[in-house]
Amino acid sequence: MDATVKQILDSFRFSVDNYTSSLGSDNEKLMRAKELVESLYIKAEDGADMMAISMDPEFGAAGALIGELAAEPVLTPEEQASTETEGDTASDGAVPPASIAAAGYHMAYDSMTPAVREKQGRYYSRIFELEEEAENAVHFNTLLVEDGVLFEMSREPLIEAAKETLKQAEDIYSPTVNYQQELVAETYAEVSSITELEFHGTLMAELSNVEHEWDALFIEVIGLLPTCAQAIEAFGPMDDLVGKLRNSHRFMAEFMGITWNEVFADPRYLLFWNNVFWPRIPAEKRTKYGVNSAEGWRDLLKEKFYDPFVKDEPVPQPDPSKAHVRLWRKVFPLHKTLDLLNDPPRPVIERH
Amino acid sequence: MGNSFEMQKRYFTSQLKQFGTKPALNRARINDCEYYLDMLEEAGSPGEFKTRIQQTGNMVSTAKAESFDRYDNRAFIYEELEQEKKAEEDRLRLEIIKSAETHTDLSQKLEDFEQKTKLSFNENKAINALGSIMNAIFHLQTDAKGSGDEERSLVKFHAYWKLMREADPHVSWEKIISYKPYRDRIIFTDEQLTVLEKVFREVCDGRHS
Repeated sequence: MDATVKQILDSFRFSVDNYTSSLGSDNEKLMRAKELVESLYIKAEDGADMMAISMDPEFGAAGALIGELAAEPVLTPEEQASTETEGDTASDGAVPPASIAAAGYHMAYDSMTPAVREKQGRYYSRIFELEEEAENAVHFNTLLVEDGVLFEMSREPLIEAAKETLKQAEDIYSPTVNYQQELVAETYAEVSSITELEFHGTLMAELSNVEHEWDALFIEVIGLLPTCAQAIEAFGPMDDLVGKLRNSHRFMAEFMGITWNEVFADPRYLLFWNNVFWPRIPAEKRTKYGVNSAEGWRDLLKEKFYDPFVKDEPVPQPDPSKAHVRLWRKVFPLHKTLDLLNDPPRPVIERH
Repeated sequence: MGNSFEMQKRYFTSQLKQFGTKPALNRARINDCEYYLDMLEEAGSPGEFKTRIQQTGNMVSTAKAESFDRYDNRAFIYEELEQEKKAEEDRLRLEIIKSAETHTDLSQKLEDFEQKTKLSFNENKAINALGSIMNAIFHLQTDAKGSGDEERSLVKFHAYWKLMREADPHVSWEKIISYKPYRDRIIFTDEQLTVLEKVFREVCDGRHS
């Protein structure tokens, strides 16, 4: 019989035997579970492998019934005493072998694809070492807790995923993504339990979601003037677009105290403009206008697609007293935005 | 290590030690480990301990404690962030966990709850709609009157406002600027928001344009 199949079926058989003294051997669910487990043993002895056994409807039914046995009413102590037989392992507190407790790990390992096994194999090797070392199932479970292999199996992939995301995010130049993934890698490296992984994971994700959405709105708002000029470059000086540009020219100064020059002095917007916007300007447009840099495109838009349409408008004046943003319940000067997103003033949330 | 009684004691003691590194996050599990260590002491033998385990629900208390700490910690986070619906949803999960009497009962009740609850879903739906609403209001400040841009901004506003009201029937301008999960996502200062409020109300009342 296949070794993993044997381990699984042994664990089923042990569980069923274990309930005999507490539920009574005439418990209907128990009797049915025994029948199913024995039927599966016969099939396994006839050559059924793990795949065949795990796909067999009897396998699922046996597993479900064993789960249900935990909810069955137990016999009174007197009834249990009268049903006990000599050598009844279930009533003397006998502990199952480690292989019973480790069966699920063998099953998981055997069903892994080579790629998953390459990443996770080392954890399973350690688990199987502990299985060898353990005298029985309780000892095995104790060694698993003390060794920390299950915690590392949860933690290390999360740290690797954060590092991978950081690497993949290099060309999107997002301060919020970078901050979050660096924080995840750093925080997870310091925690010592799965509970902490869950707690910090939920908290960091919630805080980060706020910052991503905040940053997206910031780019949309502060980029209004160049976006208007870019629309005229792309679609021509249509009335709607020119009207929008003139309204925005006035509005941004009144609303946030900023003009074209403040937009292009803002470090957060420049990060976007230089590294996200400019690289996406098609080559034919760069050739058409003879522009080879982000600064050149900025100047082109200003000279050809902005200034000519606002030359008859009053010249708006920057007003630093209006140039503020609100982040995490505090107000900051607008030009501090990139610094803030690189190290956001998040609320401190700790459980004591 | 041959004594299975000592092995069981070591198992619970090891867990207790680990949970003790962050006791605030493991309250239920610490209580549960202490409960079984006491039970072991009182039982006096592995056989008697096993009998008591069977008579007290086959360690359903451990499954309950693990789930309880998970959702209690999460409810704490959402309460601190003032995400009311998500916190309420986790508090309802805690009540379900407390009421479960068996392993099957616990998993079945939680599964049934997951099928029917919409609290977190709606909180996220409302939050996700907010960005597009603020974006549309901002653009409506400068869209040329009667332009295609204005029409698109109005369509966008109404579509996302409908979604937000479906998810949060109590939403209003006052709530947007005071409910922290909404307000925290908005970059504008209170002064800037007073400018945007005018357009918001015009659009909601159908007076814009």
